Amino acid sequence: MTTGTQASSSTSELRRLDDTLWEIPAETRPDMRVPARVFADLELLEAIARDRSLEQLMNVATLPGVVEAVLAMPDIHQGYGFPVGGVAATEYPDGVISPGGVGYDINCGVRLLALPVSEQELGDRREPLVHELSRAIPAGTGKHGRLALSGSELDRVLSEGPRALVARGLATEDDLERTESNGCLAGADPASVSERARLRGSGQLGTLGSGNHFVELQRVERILDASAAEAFGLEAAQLTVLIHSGSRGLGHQVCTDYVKLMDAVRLHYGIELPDRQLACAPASSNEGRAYLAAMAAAANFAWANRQVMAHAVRQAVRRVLGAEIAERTRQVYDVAHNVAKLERHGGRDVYVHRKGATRAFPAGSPEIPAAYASVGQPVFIPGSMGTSSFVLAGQHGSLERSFGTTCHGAGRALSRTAARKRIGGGELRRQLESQGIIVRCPSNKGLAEEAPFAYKDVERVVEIVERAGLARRVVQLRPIGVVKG
Amino acid sequence: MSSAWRALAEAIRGVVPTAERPYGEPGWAGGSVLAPMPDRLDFRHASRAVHRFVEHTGEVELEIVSPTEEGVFGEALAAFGSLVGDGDDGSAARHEIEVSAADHALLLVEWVSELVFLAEVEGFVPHRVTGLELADGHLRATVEGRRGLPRHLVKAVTLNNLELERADDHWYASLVLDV
Repeated sequence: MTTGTQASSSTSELRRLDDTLWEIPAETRPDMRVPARVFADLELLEAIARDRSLEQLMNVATLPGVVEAVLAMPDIHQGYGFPVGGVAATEYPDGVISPGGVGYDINCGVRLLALPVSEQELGDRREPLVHELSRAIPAGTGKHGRLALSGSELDRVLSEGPRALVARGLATEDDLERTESNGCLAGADPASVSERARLRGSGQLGTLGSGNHFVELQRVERILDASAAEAFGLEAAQLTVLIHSGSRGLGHQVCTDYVKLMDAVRLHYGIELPDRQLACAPASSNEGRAYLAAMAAAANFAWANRQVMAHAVRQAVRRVLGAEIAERTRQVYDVAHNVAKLERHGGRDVYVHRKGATRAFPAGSPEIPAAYASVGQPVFIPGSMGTSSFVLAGQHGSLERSFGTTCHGAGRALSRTAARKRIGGGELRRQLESQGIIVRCPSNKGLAEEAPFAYKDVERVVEIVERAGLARRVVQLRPIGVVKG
Repeated sequence: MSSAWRALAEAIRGVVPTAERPYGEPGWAGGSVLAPMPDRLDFRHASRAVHRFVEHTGEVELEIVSPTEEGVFGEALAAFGSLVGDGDDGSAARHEIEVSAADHALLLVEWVSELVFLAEVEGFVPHRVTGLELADGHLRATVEGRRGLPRHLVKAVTLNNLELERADDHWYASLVLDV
């Protein structure tokens, strides 16, 4: 329903469509092919309007072959080319594919592990466990992992994802079953990944990286949907570990290579763009197909990366809590939030670009694990160190309104510089520890950049996606230990 | 010409009174990060390039003004070195770099991308550039620095808001780094 309500003078192009959905009509700019829609309430919208994310969203609406509408999740913020929290679907087979619409950290995502232990049972072993997690998972800039891969082993990882690690005892069939797309995008071709990308990433499997990546020890603070929580194997006070990382240097280089290639060929395809970072080519073109094959390989690498880290978490649990607890540490799910996938929506096949957005398929979807078929796909929404994270379940509204998508986090509200101006890393560390959160981070500067106040209110973000019918809240998680790169 | 460029160029020319200059904010650099800006720069004679990091919600946005095009590339290296620099520890290292691109804005991206690659695979932190040769889509230079532990990950150099242009007697560049 269009009411014509306007948000504020700064967002005057926006029309309110309903309680949580706003639209910038396609007529706003002559180069827009479809409307740009934003899931938000008024307060979030005013925060969103403070940077250039809406302008970036309108730019995305100019992509050739884009269908229906481009979308922004409530955690949207300014990125490069696409805004972070942006979703765009392009028609199959000739709509464009845009590497920048996936981002440099291909298949950046989150994986949740559930320990069969409560916080009370952990007792005074909390600090040793956080310490062991920080030892087990290399973190920081350019860090190398402990897993050396030969060229052919790397090819297998690129082709198969974590399945290539099963024989080495680093992954189980249950882990694969509880991973989006079973941890493997079809069509991956190692030959489409450059030597430079291989060089950047080959030693980094099982490493966290830096920036906003983390491993967090949490407790289940609140059950919000008992039946879904039971299906996900989560109960009150239980411990969980959330891993947030991506495809490391390999994925960064794949995106770099293909943005450059598509920038070079786009005029050949008659594509004019308001921002070079939106460089794209028809998905059916040689360049489009090569990118999709390389992106799938990098996505598989990212799933394998989180898999190796999950194995490291189990080893840390084994050292602190014993073998039996480690063996019963189960993967809840693993979701990507930077990826493009061929999916069927509204009776047609489309390439869904999710840049800082999460697939959120509802109950009954054939693409989610059988154990979750009656409740919907798990979605994890990390908070920001000092704040809660949430486990959601995909809802039918996502298929009707957002190409099966929901948000991916709290979304930055302050730049890194602004965050550092407001607090020092040492002071933040003390504040977090006074809240009962143990912090392991090699860089005070890096820690300050990720201060909780640099992000939007995650509780408001998840409330919006629930009200919009995209996903519903299942469990609230509270951090008790953080390992950052 | 972007409004950011206008503000930057005017400020450096001394058109804007000192108290109102955007580069009075922390983050301004003049040859080296956080060095105080001179009151007035006359690019007809000065050989100094400057850079600053612009507020960006998610990434790092870099602006450079230089009296010469070569100076833009040298200043980009200085900015990158300040971002990833980890002090003077580590062994000295040196790289010959040669990159090509269809236009010079892309050449700037290629140049910094090369530094991103070296920082990640070798822990190379660049300190200075010598022998920088720039000609029609081609750049060659020697970069000296140290092997260490770069403190800040730069994932990539994007094409977002990419500019490299000459206006009057200055060169202006802007680029966004994914961090």
